[in-house]
Amino acid sequence: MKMRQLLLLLIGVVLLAAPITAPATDDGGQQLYQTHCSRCHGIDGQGLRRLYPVLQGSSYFGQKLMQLPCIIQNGLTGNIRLQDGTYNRTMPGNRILDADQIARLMRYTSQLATGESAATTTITSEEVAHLLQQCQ
Amino acid sequence: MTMDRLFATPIISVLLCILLLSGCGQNTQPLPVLGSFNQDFSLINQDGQIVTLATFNDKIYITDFFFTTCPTICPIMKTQMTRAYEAFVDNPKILLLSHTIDPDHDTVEVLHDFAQRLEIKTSKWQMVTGPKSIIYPLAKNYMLEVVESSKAPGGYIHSGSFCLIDANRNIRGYYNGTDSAEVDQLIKDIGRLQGEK
Repeated sequence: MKMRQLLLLLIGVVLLAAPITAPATDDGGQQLYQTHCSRCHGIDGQGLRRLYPVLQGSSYFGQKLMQLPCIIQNGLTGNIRLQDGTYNRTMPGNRILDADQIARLMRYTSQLATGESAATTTITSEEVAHLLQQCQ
Repeated sequence: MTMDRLFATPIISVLLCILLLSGCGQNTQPLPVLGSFNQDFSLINQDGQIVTLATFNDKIYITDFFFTTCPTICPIMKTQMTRAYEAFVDNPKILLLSHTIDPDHDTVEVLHDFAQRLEIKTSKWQMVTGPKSIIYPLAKNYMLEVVESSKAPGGYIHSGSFCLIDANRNIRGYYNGTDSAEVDQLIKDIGRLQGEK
């Protein structure tokens, strides 16, 4: 194989790999996720077996999305049933996060959970603030 | 230039040989002996079985200290320890030993549930509980820090290191259990220990 062909092949591999590895559009949500969530849910939302839930395919990024602001702020205890089984670890709350931070966190995390930007949430700070006022 | 000619170039060939030789040279260096561990103990594992120092006779093992409700470094440590578990799951010469430092909460039942959720075999990865008066001095003997602190998240400050002990009960390395690159090195180093006569 000639060097020119080899170079073209390498460029092709890099271009093919780019959509998989390129970070999603980020407004600080990624940093918030790494700081507050990734220790348990994993850097890419992969979770850890049946100890810490995987984010991909989670109903908390679908029909239960509106519950997430209160869960992120106040934590979660007890059994929860997800697509791949039941989990029972205590999720600690993050009382220091405000509505704007939680909105950014949710927008970034939903990209991890859905795997495609078209299906991610566009939730705003105002919407999160409204939901936080209704936490029980 | 074709690939054949590229590798036929003498300079490239010499560089490749140097790289190969230097790589081999690094692996022939034995791991240092950093201390020894001979403190006998009797603790209970996640299946309610007694675990003692004799459980690890003639075994290479990795040990750490954690607690199941730890909100900070423990989840990462367990993710990384699971990688080591997978690397040696079929090797009977290698064992894993995790001590809880919160035995008041981490009873046998709690550890059993935790281990089941991690989907691990007890014969390979022991998770042990028992009196603090036994567990905390063990941490000291492994030269790992464990301190109760009401100011710390979860109530404890503890080392995030994995300690590697060889079949002669010598401590051969410490690895940051929250760093995947260091755990990669731990897995490689166990391969080197196995090659020792």
